[in-house]
Amino acid sequence: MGDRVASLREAVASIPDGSVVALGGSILRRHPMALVHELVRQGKRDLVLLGWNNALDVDLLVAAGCVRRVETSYVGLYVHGLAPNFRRAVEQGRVEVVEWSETSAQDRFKAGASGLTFYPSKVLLGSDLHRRNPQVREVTCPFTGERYAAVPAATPDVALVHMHYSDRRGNVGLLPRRVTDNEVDILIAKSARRAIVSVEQIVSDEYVREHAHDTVLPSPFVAAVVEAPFGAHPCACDRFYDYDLDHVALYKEHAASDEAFQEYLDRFVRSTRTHEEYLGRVGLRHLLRLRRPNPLVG
Amino acid sequence: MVDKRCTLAEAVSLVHDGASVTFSGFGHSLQPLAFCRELVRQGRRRLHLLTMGECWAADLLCGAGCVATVHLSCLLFEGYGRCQNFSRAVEEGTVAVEDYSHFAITSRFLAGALGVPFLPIRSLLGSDILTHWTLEPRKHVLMDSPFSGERVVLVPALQPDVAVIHASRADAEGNVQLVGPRSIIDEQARAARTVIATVEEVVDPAEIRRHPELTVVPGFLVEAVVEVPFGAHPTGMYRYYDYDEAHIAEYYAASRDPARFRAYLERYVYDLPDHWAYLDAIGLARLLALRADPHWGYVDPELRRAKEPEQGGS
Amino acid sequence: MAAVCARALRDREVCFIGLGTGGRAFVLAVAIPILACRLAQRTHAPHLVPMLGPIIDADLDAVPDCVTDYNLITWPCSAQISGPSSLEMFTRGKIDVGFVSGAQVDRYGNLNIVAIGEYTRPRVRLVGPLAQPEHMAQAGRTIIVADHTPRVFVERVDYVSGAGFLEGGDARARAGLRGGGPALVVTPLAVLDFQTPDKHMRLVSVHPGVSVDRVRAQTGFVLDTPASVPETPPPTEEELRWLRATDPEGRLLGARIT
Repeated sequence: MGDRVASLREAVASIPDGSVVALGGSILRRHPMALVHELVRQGKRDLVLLGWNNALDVDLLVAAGCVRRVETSYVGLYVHGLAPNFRRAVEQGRVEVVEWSETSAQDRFKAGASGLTFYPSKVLLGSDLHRRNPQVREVTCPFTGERYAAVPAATPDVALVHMHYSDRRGNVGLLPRRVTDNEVDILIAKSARRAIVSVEQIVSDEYVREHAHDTVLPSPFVAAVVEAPFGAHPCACDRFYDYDLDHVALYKEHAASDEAFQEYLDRFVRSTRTHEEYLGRVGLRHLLRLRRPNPLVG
Repeated sequence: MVDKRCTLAEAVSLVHDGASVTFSGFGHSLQPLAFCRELVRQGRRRLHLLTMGECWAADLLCGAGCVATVHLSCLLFEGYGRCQNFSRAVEEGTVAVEDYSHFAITSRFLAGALGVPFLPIRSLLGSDILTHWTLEPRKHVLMDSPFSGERVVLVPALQPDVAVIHASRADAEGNVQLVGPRSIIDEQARAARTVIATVEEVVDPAEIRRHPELTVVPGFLVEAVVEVPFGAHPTGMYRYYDYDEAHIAEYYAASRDPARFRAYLERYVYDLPDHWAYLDAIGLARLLALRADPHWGYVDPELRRAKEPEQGGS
Repeated sequence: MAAVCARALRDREVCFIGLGTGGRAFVLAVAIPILACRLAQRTHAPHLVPMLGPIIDADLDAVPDCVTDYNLITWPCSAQISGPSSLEMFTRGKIDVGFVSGAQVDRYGNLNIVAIGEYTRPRVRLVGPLAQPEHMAQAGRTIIVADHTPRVFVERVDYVSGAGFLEGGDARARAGLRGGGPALVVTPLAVLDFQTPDKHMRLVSVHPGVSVDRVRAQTGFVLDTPASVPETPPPTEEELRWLRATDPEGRLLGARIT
């Protein structure tokens, strides 16, 4: 096939139970849902999830029993409210949570992406995010003597992010007009020991070369690339497709109880063996309605 | 703002039995086959096809018994051979044909587009196209040019009842845009009395205005717009998806024999209620694997070389 | 020299080459490394990823005539990343091997591209450290390409801009440096390395037609010389063919690229 192209199954099979897994995306945007579904299909356990702003990616993995601990600044369903499975699990003590702010969560990825072991930060000082988190230490600036919180670098075993395109060698690109909140995905990928990137489309070497300035993850940073069209569904993926609010509403309905949510998991995740089968379950017509004008044309 | 959007079934109902119709496309590209399948489903009869090289429309509709006559310059199943259904219908006498050269029939469309009664050309001189005719009471007139005295052939204007164009995108007002080679869409659309556009995607007017140079048919010429993703399948749409080699081979094999073709029609047309069901029958994995590479405009030749045609997915 | 360097590169490595000098420095620091990378890609390392400044996986058959901005921007490659991101490649430990050079090289592979003579009143003020500190601190290993004269090969550099093995022994580890340090030195006369107990430079081979005595005479410190010094294997027919294919008009080696 190519240097770094892997099937969804192969890529996820390489992730052991107990791994520290960083998930890209924010609120209902560009979470790597195809990869998340496959984690559930393969019955992964005891994962520690790192992110900076998460939604159904975390909520679904928690409901599927895959997660030991979650570290992020947000787990919720945006306009649809709280993340019901996550909420229940935390209230019932079934999953640990470590709180970070948006900035400090991103700082952890910055440090990891740069090869540093910590990042100095002012933002947590005084709050319980500092006082109640033993991972955060205090340091003094050697120049000014000011107090800083030192947040430990994030160095996940694996990062799962969804991006726009890649060549077969793993040079991953993003079209320039995109939601810029998700630039953090680049840091998330770089901070990991291994980054597994799902993309809307695997493209020719020629296309990547013509758009070399749009390559955000050159191949040295990419362990495996998986072709997954609509791979963020039901989240949005920049100009490719918007949120599937109907599907999120359906998700939320099922998430009202653990039992009802297992039905959702059975129907959309466990009984679909591949990402294409998941998309077929969602419905081709429905998916095509979510599309925006093809950003790769003209 | 006028909204010309309608469903495929509604658009097809604009084509009556006995209408003269011209379709976009050439070879294995750009042919409005979702529309043609719906024409077959709705049981249209005695159509008069005006074609230059739109082999798929002609062969499918002849094979389904929808056609009375065909004006053509070339109906060839590129890479495979003759159009089997079309050839058989002509040989059995169920379809009558009128032959032209590419340029001659295009000139007829052009005359119709310009609104002039005829155009003078030289292309047919010396050929049997001038000496044999079937359908046209007055296929051509030979004339000496009043300016230079040289002999020219006058071909009369052609004004189809309906032109069906499959294109890249349009807005609800009917401004139709096409990326890539056009064949004779410009002439066909302007010659026809009614233009129906099926498009891969209906977009906001702002998108159309971002690239006005891509507009091939302005909205005021268009009667109806239908959003039909993969509407040319199994032919290709430059920059959207490549042609489906495996399905084309399946079609061609079936077209060699009336009973097998009947089975093909049952499977892909009669037994399916609409285009969505057709796409489900083709399968999402296959459709996604046909997606055009953004550099090449069709499937990356590297990938095509590496993959077997039967396997749909990555 | 290019052939020796090529043989030292491994498949799938990320190999850094700095851009942006002229003249002889260009030949040592850029031209020879580019030729080495391309040769390695064509022989044993087809998936070697060269990194030329911020340009990753550039097409080394398409080296422009001038490395002016327009030509850099349009140089066919897989990625042109931001300046900060390219430096992060060092700090993140993504550079497996890098080519370095210097006005001075000392016994322990430390380099100087800042100042010759006393630092505050130098005899020769050079350009400044550039990215040599991070390069030599963090790359998996470095390959030093330099001219072989007593002025270049000194007992101790006047200013350490690029850390080799510092004072020798485990000084690198004690200083907290993550990268492996210099692995090889390639000059027009010889090949040298640092595989000695205290990490000082030693002679590995002399090029055909060059005597050991000459190499020792051209080295400004006492050069650790084994009893028997082999000849550097010259480029093979195949290697020569590929080298000529990459630089048919000698633009690179003639430093005609400005």
